[in-house]
Amino acid sequence: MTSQEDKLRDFVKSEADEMLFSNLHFDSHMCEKVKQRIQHEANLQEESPVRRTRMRSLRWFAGTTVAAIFIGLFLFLAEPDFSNSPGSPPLDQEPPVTLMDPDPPIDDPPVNYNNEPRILGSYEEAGQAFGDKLRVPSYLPEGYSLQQISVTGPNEAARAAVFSYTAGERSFGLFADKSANSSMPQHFDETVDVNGAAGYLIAGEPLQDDGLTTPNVELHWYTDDIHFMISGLVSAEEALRIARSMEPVKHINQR
Amino acid sequence: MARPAGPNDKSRYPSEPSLALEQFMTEYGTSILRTAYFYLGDRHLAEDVSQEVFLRAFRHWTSFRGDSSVKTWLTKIAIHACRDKQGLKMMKEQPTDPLLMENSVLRSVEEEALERLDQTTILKFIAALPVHYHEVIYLYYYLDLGTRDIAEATGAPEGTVRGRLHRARALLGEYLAREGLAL
Repeated sequence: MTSQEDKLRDFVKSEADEMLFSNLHFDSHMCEKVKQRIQHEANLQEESPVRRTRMRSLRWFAGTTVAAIFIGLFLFLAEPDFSNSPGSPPLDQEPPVTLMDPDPPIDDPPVNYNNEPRILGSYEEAGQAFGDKLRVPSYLPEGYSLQQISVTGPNEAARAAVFSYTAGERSFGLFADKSANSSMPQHFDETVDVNGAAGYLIAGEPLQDDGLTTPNVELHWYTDDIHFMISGLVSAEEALRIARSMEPVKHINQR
Repeated sequence: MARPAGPNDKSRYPSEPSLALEQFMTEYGTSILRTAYFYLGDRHLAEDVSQEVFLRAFRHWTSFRGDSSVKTWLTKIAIHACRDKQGLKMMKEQPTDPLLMENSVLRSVEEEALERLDQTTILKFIAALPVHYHEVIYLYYYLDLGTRDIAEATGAPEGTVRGRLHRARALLGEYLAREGLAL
């Protein structure tokens, strides 16, 4: 590591400690809170078989009672023969299905925003998860191959997909993002044409590694309201060629 | 301060989760709390999230295969927990480029802190960088994670991390040169 790097690291650490993180310590009180939460969960788990049965019964009872009241009201207000219509459910059916498991396993986080990426095995699976607007490259620079696909978001409605491509020590990522708040970079070096759409190129200085020079770029553009980005160790020309080769997943699969 | 990340160091920790937890909190408690604060810019949220991180680590310790260092693993859990919390806090979808956090404490500090930030030598220039460089600078220079660890923790390809880091350094150099400063 160069002395310049050491200096930068020292500055970042000392200034961040002083300006951003002063008095920010994970103290014994916080350690205690974590242990209490673990203890609390363990207690819940111990009593859960009995509690679950009891809670389910109570919820079933409450659910059926509420349902009965609603059905009664509905029958009272509706047309007299509505209850005999073909589509009406029989009254002596299973307990009502609730959207939320009344007593989910304690290992589940309280709210799941699906921010944990899921690894998928093929472009096809990625297309199913992300939707028809997903495009993938039909061209890759020599030596590169697909290494990994991960998607974030609900099944069949993923918000984002990340494709990692590697060639030995080199790698780049292709990001597809549906989020409305995913905006183009404000700082860029050049605007380029990506099949009729404006592309924004950020070309960094090439990386010098073990005597080798490796280019690195970032290229952003929109296609069908999807924000695509290529970022990593490829040249501007290669990034542009990859971007221009993007096709819907089904076209790639048909080959 | 947390020690530098090494490769698989799982064997350095007790296999019993509650004992391992003690060691995690002693070694990495403060750096996880600060990481959460870096992402969320809110002390109370950061405290909540850092507790959640250790809770998740406790639950998953036995299934953690040790493919990365414990530090990288905990940082990854922290980043995911912050993304979850931001989803709750902002009630909107998370920016999903794994390296494109649209918020960092350098952008959300209060006015008083902003004045103090202005008196720093380097941090004010880092704060002036496009926000998506903050994360890689923080993880690399502050947490001492390598580019491979950052890739693992953020879910981005390593080439992307290296490219970002390189561009952030170059841009920082430009800013400093413009002010007639050099490291």
